Amino acid sequence: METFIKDLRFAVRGLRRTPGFTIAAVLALSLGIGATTAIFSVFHAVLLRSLGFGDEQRLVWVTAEQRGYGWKHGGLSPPEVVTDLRTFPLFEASGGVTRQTASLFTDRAERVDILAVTSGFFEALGVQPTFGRTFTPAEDLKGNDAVVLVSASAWRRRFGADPSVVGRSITLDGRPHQIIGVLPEGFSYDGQRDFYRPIGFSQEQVSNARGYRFIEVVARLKPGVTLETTRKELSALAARIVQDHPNNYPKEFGWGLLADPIRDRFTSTTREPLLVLLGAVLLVLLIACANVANLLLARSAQRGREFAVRAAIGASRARIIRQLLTEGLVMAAAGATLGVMLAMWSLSALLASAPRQIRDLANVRLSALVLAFSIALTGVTTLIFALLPALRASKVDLVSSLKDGAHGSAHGGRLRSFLVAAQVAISIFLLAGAGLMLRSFGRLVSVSPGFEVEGAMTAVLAPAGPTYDMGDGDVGGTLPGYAARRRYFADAIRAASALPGAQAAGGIDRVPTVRGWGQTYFIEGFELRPGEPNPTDEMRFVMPGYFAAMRQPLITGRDFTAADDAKAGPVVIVNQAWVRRYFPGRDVIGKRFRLDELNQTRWRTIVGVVGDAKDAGLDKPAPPVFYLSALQDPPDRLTVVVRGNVSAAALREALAAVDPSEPVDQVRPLEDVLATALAVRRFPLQLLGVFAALALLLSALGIYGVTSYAVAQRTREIGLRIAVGASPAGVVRMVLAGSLRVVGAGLLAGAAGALAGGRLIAAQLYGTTPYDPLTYAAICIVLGLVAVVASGVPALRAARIDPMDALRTE
Amino acid sequence: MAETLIELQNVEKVFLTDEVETHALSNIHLTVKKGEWLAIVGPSGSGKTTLLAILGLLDTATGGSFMIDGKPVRDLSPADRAHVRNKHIGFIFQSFNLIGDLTVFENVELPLTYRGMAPAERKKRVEEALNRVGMSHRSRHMPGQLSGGQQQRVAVARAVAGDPLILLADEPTGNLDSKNGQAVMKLLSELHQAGSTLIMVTHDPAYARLATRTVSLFDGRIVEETGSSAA
Ligand SMILES: Nc1ncnc2c1ncn2[C@@H]1O[C@H](COP(=O)(O)OP(=O)(O)OP(=O)(O)O)[C@@H](O)[C@H]1O
Ligand SMILES: [Mg+2]
Repeated sequence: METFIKDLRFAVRGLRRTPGFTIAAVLALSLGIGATTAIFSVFHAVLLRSLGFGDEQRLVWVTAEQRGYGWKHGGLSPPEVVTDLRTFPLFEASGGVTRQTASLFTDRAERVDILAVTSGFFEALGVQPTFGRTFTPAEDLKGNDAVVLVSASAWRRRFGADPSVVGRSITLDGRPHQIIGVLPEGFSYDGQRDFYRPIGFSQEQVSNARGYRFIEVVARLKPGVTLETTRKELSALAARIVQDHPNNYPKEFGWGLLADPIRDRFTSTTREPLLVLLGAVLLVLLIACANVANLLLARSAQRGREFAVRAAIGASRARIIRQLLTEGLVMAAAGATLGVMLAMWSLSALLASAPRQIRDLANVRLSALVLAFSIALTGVTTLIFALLPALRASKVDLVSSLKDGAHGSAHGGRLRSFLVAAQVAISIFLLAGAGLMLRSFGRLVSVSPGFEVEGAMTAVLAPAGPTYDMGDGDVGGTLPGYAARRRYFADAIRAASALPGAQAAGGIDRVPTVRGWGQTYFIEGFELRPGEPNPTDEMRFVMPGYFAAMRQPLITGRDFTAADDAKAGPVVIVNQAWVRRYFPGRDVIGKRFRLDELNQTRWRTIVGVVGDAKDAGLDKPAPPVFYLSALQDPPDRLTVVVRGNVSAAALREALAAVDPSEPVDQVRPLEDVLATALAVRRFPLQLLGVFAALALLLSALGIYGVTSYAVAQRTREIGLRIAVGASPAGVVRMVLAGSLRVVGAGLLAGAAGALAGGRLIAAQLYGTTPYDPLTYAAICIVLGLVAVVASGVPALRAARIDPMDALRTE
Repeated sequence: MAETLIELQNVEKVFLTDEVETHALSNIHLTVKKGEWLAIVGPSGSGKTTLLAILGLLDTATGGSFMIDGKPVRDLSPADRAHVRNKHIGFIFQSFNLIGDLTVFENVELPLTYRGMAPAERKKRVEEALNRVGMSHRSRHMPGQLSGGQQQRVAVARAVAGDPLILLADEPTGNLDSKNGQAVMKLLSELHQAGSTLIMVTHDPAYARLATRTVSLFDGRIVEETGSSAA
């Protein structure tokens, strides 16, 4: 023990004597440990950790497929959820779930995200309320559905953690709802939500609305039931349903029921980018290890003589090994400590910039497992390479070390060069990934969305109070709520266009690139091939003036006007993609179609064609879209768009004044809507960029370290060369050439690897191939410049070597 | 009278380290004529190596004037000094100073390469030089495979290969046993006979006597000159 403390003290002193080496090594270690731990913690939380539901193995996620269209994971209809699946014998419990928003009225109107569920949902997940109860089957029906469950965090935030909150009433969508319970701490299904309420079906919906597909189902299998059996039995059930209701499930749909492990529900979209990131960060860790190995190798070569002397005066090999081990341990410990701090810091930075689409990032914690892993890896690297000099010390060739006439050949030079080349290769690989994603991102950002993004403010109105009740929400409904909506929306647009600075104002239910509704319809005069179902396309609702406000060009015909209201004949506007799809090269003005629903017997006439907008997202081609007049068929919500110099506050105020009981939501510039759409791409890009930068930094460090070391080793040789006439420029060239040969080899290997691995990220690219020559040229130039700078510094130092050093004997 | 190759007037060299001034050389007046063999002697620390370094343009004097072949060299740029060294000066060091990663041939070739000489010409000169020192049979060997005496002979070959105006040697026998030392001195004598101008630092009075002239340094000053400067 005492000798250990002595060793420790000696090790610390030794490391402090060479601060440059120590700082570089500890920094490399901590960067590797920190980045790996941060990313792996996210990976673990999102993909591996328990979702927080009881006995997760027995939970399945049930959705619909329509093989005829290649659709998967579509929604289920109320009769399927409430009747067919609830009585499915392999399920212990099952419940439907869908996302909603509601306006909560306290002292002001506020929009809240709500999870709407059916009875059985919480039972299936195995969640029991802390207070009160969950929903009963009776509460699935409209009329009984004015009940609500509160999340634990909302209970604390909004109700001061008052245990007597059960039984109290809150106003959601203008109706009083009774709080029947508080959910347990930490529960979330797909993210934090304050309130959970019944979906609230009408009796008609429960019995007949099989075309109304919007619900996903979670179910708990009975003990011992396998996924295999479940799938088999579900497809039998689906076959019976299709047989019993041939009108709702035409053969060409290829309709069926899917059951998947509940985890797939949350990870299917994030798995791939996370795996790419995980791979990237492991490469960074590898570079860090190579770097540390290299630094230690250089150090060991420098100390070879010291150990030879020690060995010569009788130090046992074990003694030397112990000292080196202690030194390695001290370094690894310092690196690990700093690494943990770095991991915590970068994790919080990471979470702050992560898009909300990734589930439960709020619950990411530093994973001890991962931390242990990365510390172990770097620790082992450190120790192995710390030990090398001890192993070498016994092999020192005394004869050649005494013959000091010849200078220059350095021990381990080849291994060090290899390690540098490997670092460069890995950096190129990462840089290629980051570069390609950056290029895709650049392409995406420069894609014209089909309208003018800058200089417009938007706000969302989603009136939900009793005045605006839409019943089942069908297009063409006749409840008084429909008329109230028309008035509300028209007043809102009027108020917006009256704002000082407003040049044009209009509205749409969902502004691109937010997806709209898919609607099946029948086009007069469009011949279906035999067996081909009626087309389903994106349906959007716009107010007059919308296209002008968006600067989305009108190609032929006319825009909607105030006259296109409920009393006028139904009209429709289509985009150019629609024309191309159904009537290429033809005049479509005056053509008619009919929505494919029970009460939709009215023909709608095309009055105009507008330019394409990137409705389905910037990275996808513009889909065929048709626009209904929101004055004829008011939608569930309206995004108001005002072109001109209008502040968010002014717009909010003007819209709130139209109906103070309804919240004005998501007031933001139009470009922010697009930025949100890009966030999912930007996040991995940013991370990959950070990793590539780290890799580059570490490689630069490696190149610098090895070149510096080589120059130091060759001081006498270089001095001699200068003495016999090498010019300073010649020396710089020689050192650079030596280092760039190694870098070049790594560069070629890395580029080859990146080209081979290009398809790993092909799915995340847009508008560029994984083999984009421009990207490769750019990263090679970047790395080349970095290498020139990193080896240029020691090269310049070499040129200043005093040739006198060659003259003086040792 | 032979022409003057080197002329030092009132040269001084002051080293500044940690606020301490070391007057390594003071008030040095020295003229070296073509074909002379000059020995520089003196006790350790007297400034012999410093003087040789200045003569060889490896270092600069802090005062005085210095001409080689009638041209002042004090204010040359590092690149020009490298050029002059390369073209006009051949070095032989105490510790041989061959580059371990290069063969004997490549070591001798090095100054010629820096001169930008054509490969064929280089090959001819290297072979000639190795012949002169009796090492042509070892041209493919690495320096580590040679004895100390052999290494020094290679170093001599490197110094003479470029046909320099002046050969500078700093204790060329310092690391050799007497037999090898004598062989190297014999080599230098032969070079002198053949017309080379030699400036040599040595501790050994016996070797100093071989030179045509001897300069004694003490504490950075020339304290004695023997022999004729007329050669
Ligand atoms: N780079 C330097 N910085 C400071 N002082 C130096 C430097 N080089 C030489 N000196 C000093 O200058 C003086 C002359 O040194 P020099 O090497 O010329 O002696 P020398 O005659 O060659 O000795 P030796 O016979 O031991 O080789 C000494 O006092 C030495 O300490
Ligand atoms: Mg000396």
